[in-house]
Amino acid sequence: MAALDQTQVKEGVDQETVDAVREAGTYKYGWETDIEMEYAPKGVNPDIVRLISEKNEEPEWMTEWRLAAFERWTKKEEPTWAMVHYPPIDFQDQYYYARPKSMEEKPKSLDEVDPKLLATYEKLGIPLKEQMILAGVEGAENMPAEGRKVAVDAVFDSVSVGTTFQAELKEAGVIFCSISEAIKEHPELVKKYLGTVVPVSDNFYATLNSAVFSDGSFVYIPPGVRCPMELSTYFRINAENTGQFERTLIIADKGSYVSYLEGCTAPQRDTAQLHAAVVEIIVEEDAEVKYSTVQNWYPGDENGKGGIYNFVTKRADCRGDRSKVMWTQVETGSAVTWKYPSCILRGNESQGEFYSIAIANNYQQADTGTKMVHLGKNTKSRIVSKGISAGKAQNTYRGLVSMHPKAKDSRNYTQCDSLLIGDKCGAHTVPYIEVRNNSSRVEHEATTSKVDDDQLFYCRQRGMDEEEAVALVVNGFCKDVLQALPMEFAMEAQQLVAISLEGSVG
Amino acid sequence: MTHLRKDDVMTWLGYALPVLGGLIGVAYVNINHMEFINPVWAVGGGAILGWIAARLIRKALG
Repeated sequence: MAALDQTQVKEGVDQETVDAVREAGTYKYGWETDIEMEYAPKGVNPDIVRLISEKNEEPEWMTEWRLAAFERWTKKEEPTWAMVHYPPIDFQDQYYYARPKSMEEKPKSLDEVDPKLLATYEKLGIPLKEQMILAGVEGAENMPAEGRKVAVDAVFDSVSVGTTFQAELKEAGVIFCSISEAIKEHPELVKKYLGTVVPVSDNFYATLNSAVFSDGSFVYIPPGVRCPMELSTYFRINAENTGQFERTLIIADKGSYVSYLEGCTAPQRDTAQLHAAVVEIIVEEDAEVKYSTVQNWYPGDENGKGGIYNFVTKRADCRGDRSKVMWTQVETGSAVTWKYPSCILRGNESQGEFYSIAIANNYQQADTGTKMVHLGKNTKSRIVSKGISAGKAQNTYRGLVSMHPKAKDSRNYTQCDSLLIGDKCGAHTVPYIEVRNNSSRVEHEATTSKVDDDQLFYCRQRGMDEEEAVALVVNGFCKDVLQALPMEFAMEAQQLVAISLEGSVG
Repeated sequence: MTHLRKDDVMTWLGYALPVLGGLIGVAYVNINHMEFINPVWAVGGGAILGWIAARLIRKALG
């Protein structure tokens, strides 16, 4: 790209084209928003925990809950079993709370939100202005507005900037707001469900999150309601040296349905930043939840400098009979990923599905997979995991399928494929299978392959360059998962797959 | 243009319906992947059901 900077641009070539070429191959969302921030003092201790609680104007019971979590965290040790290596994290050398100064007073509507924040989300392709979405932006004017409506909760560093379509969702009985708002407005629901799927002391990072989570999203779908639009949360880390700790709580009551999307990006920096999130999903009888993630945190540069350390605990509890949950994730970013979205299939005939693409390039490390815990009778689960490693990256699939004694006649199918691009990367598969009854069936298929030279040759003969050819092969390799993504994400994910592997060949 | 005769329809039904049944079996397996149905059974079952349907129709048409 340096060559392009020095090259004289020919007359008649517009600036947009030059910028597009300059941007190609680099992390698209690596820019920073120049905005005045307010920080809590560095480090984590009971005073910081109290301060975060105070900033969110939380009731006493919540502060106590956080302090109890912090107490437990101090007794826990950082896990070392994952196949990821990174320098020790100094948990006292970072900020646990950062918010734009303009957010000191929570805006009552999106019109009151700092225009710089709105511009940030617009630049990210997430227009928050409802009227803009309805009017149609970015060439989508030919499509009916109904088909494109997605309610967004935008989280910027430690605070939720705003939530769109709240009034319309309220009409359907759906509660969609930031978790800080839910703690104040719907304490009975939060008290009843928070920490019941991912207990406070579940693991080191979940415990830390329980103590210091600053914001996140809250969703409640009442019995029998099909959510009238897709819901989504967009996480953006902007402040330097700041960790993001968000919490998401989704409750799908009896017979309800919701599709939830999650996206995330961060600026390009030389220092690593921490992201430790918790997602809890409660699925009651006959309810269905689809949770899709396109994770695009900054992955670090080609020498492994900087990037996000992404330690996430996601779990769904299918409490009711015939409940369903589906996790779909595309993991392309972050320097280190440690993430295992899980399903607890408690209700009889409940179903859990997990579709994942994990792409690691350069020095990225991903240790990701799922847990399917079958507790109820006739429960079914399906795991499709695609891992792609390039450069000097290491990609690990780690999965658990557990059939408990009462989970009679349960079924699981696992397909775990790894693709290697180059000769310096690694792919590892660590499946755990426990079957404690004699009527359940578990199937596990795994393959490891390299990008076939014949395939590349065939594509290149038809005028594609090597990177295009690799992108085509990889997209074909991932098609099972891409098909499971909602329309809004599928196209983006497909492009992301290609971009993430730029520079991996040749 | 030749007119389609009853005999022709009766003959073709015996081939077309088992094939259609097999295709429906394939589609069902792909749409309902959480049912964990063995595709061999679905295709075979679909073809047999198609054949039975063809026999019944032929019988009904005399």
